[in-house]
Amino acid sequence: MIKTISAPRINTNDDQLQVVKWYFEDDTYVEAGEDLADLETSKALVTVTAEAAGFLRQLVRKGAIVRVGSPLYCLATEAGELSAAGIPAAAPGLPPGRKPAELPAAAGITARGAYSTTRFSKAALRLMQERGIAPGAFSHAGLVTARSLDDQPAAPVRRRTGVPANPAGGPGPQVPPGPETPRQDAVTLSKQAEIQSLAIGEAGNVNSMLAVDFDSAGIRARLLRDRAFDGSIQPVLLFELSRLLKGWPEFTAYYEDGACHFYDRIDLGVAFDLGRGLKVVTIPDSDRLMPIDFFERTTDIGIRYLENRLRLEELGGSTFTVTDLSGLDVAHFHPIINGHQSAILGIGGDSGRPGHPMSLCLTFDHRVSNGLAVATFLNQLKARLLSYAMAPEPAGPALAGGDAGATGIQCDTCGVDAASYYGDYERDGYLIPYYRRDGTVGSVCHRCYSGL
Amino acid sequence: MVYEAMNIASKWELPLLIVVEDNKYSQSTSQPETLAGTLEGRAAAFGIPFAKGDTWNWQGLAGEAGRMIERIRQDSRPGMLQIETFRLKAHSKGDDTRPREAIEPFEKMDPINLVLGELSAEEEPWVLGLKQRISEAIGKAEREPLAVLPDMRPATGPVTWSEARRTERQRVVVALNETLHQLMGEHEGIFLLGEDVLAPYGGAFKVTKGLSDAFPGRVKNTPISEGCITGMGVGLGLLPFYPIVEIMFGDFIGLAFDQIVNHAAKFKQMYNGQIDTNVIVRTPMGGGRGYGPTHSQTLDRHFLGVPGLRVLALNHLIHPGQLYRPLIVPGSGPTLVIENKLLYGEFIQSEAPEGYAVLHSSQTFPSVWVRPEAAKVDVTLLGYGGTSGILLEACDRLFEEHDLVAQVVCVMQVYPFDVTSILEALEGVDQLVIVEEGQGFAGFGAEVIAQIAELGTLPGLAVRRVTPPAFCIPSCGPLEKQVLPSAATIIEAALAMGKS
Repeated sequence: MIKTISAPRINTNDDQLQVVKWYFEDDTYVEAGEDLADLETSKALVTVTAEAAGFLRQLVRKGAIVRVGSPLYCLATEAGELSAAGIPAAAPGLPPGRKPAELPAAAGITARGAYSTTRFSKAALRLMQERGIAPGAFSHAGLVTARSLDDQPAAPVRRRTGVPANPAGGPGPQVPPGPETPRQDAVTLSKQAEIQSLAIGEAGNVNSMLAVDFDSAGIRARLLRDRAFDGSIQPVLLFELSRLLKGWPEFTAYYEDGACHFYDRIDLGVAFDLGRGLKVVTIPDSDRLMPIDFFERTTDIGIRYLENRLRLEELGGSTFTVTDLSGLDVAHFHPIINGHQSAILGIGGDSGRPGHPMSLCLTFDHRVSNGLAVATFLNQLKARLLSYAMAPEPAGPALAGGDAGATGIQCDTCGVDAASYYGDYERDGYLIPYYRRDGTVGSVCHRCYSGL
Repeated sequence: MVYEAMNIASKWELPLLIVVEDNKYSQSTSQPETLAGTLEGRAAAFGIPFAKGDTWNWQGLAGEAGRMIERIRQDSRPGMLQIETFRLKAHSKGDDTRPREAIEPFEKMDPINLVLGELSAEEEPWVLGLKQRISEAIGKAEREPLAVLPDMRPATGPVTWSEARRTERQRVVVALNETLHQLMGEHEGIFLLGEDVLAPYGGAFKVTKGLSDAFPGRVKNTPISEGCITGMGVGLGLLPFYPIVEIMFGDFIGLAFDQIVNHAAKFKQMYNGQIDTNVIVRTPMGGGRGYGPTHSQTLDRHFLGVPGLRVLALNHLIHPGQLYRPLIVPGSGPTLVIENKLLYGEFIQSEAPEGYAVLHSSQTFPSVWVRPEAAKVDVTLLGYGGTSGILLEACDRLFEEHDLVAQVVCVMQVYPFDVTSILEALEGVDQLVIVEEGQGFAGFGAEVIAQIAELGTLPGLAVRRVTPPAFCIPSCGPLEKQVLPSAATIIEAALAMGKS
């Protein structure tokens, strides 16, 4: 008996998915529940398991894109049954990398219909803006809705080849003949999603970027001494950023249709790229987390990223994005705002230079904020970060008043000194610095801070 | 209504002989039980000359009637002749409850009985001949096969649709007035009757503006009596005339219900096609102007389903000439035309909205199909009459704001209505919203849905009606808005359907 299994729906938004990997060759016997294939949607990579035991026949080859619900593979109970039944080997599926709705315009193709005119719904115009499709790409297309954009038949893609684009020889765009046909490679669904999200963020925006620099050596020394976060600044940075963002609602907002839309939530999206594609993972309610929480979350996310176990609901819905390239020793860069956001913070750094300088690069939508506000915001963030730095001996401001313990730091609320505190909590503990009313810097332990 | 007829006959000096057969009884009730005053007094009230005779002195009656008729013809004035007689037999068949003693004296003095009792030698064979003729007629009738109903299926071919021509941009009321001017200029047989239709007033909604100046004597102001006005129209329509009756407010068409339903609609079928009346009854209906519960209703539903009566409704998607012109032909039959108060002020849709084609059906009274230029249509909005404006607005907004491709079908002939005439527009569409300004219960929408269900070829079609709640129409503006359908409520219905 031969059983045909269809491509599953992995999430509600994606009607197609890409076969990234088959774990078994055709005609291999697989057990029910064994990992069978990796399927990728625009948001997630999932491994599907065999629905039953049997001899495998892939119906879609690796790299191809299939529609949800179309046949994916067959399982036969008897060897040789598949060949006897004449089931053909893997079909190419949809041409890889082609998303029917996007390609015509992306390739500059005009979608010409049989109607007298072309009229777009508001939703269609919005979607086209997001996808970067110009209205001029349509002619005589009738009523165009956002949904009908996805139903447009794929127009032939104009390739850059040695053959003139206009064989009739009439007027037309001249394509310079290349030495050979360039190699084409599929753009994966997740890459397309990334492109789309970034395109939304850029579309129509009036973006600008400001950066501030600071030396991170002092902070790193402090963290190392405190045995916190393996000396990584990122948890502290995310923590301070989240707390600071609460006072800056314009950065967790976006502009649309002449109005600012405020999320009034701090759900940081942290960009990860550990070699398997850029993923922005959302950390909800970031403003209620402690540095240790960020440390644990990001560690966990990194592990699950590598194991393809990121959950769909984590990949979206953030209100502000942070992308950290400091580990790659990129000193400065211009991050691109994601869709429906007004700002993104890029963290740069150069470990090879004295003092390990770091940068806070904020790209922002000028329609929502302005340079003065961003400069103020960045300098506040910088000051908060620098407050962690160990005073260069002997000069510099005292980190904490009082005379508690060797470090001179204690919790202002419960009075525990740093040494005994870290002795008790080790990595779980963190003394959070804050400005006292008199302008000096004090500390409070995580128990007191969170009301334990 | 009789008194209104007497009033107007006297006022207009019509040569009308009103004969009252005074047989002393209604079905079982004797005259003194219910009659106040006298018949003579009634005639006097309207200035109508009166005469009286009886069947027992039939030679005298013939003389009186002759003199009365002579006078009516001479003076061109109405007259009333009361003829006293006595009903000897039952009103119907066996329902006579009167005592024999009350009837017997009249039987004895009945002129026919008296004549038959003492026939002369010349009269006897004449009476015998009459009796034989009657029995022969009965025998012939009994030998004939039983009558069968005529074929009542509408003799229309398949409906086709063609692109509408552009029309001049003008208000519906102006186009309607122009149409009436044109038609009255072309056909001398068109008369216009109604309340306050004369210049300079020109009707409550100015539809008849200037017509009485252009066609003196053919436009008549009438008393406030819808029954009388309609009755006159029905009567004129029996002759080779095209009477157009205006009922100022459709709310009062109930007063003409009897004339329309029991007379105009019946003649052709009742008299086996020998006669018909070409009366056109026009009336504005609908709310939106704060006129309150009894001047804002849409009551056309009560006239839907009356065999022999055509109900048409004007809409802003088609020129009024396309409604009225086909009615001015011999044998067009009685027609009720629903106009809409708010519609009068709207502009006729002169060209197709962007992205749509406006199609007219091939029917005599064309339906309009505002067809989108799109491969897939999400929802059809169906309605008639004054809803055309909100249908089109909803259609536009559904596309613009809600990314749904909608289309509009607006029918002109509301009854008789066969849903197969608009089938082409319904096929391949998943949702149908039917919009009515009148109450939905047992209305046009209910009929359409029933026909679709019986047809059975559109099993996947989801339907929904947008109709006012079961409430009178308030005068208070905000309340009235809540009651009447609007583009917003249509959109709401379409979106709700999409979700369910």
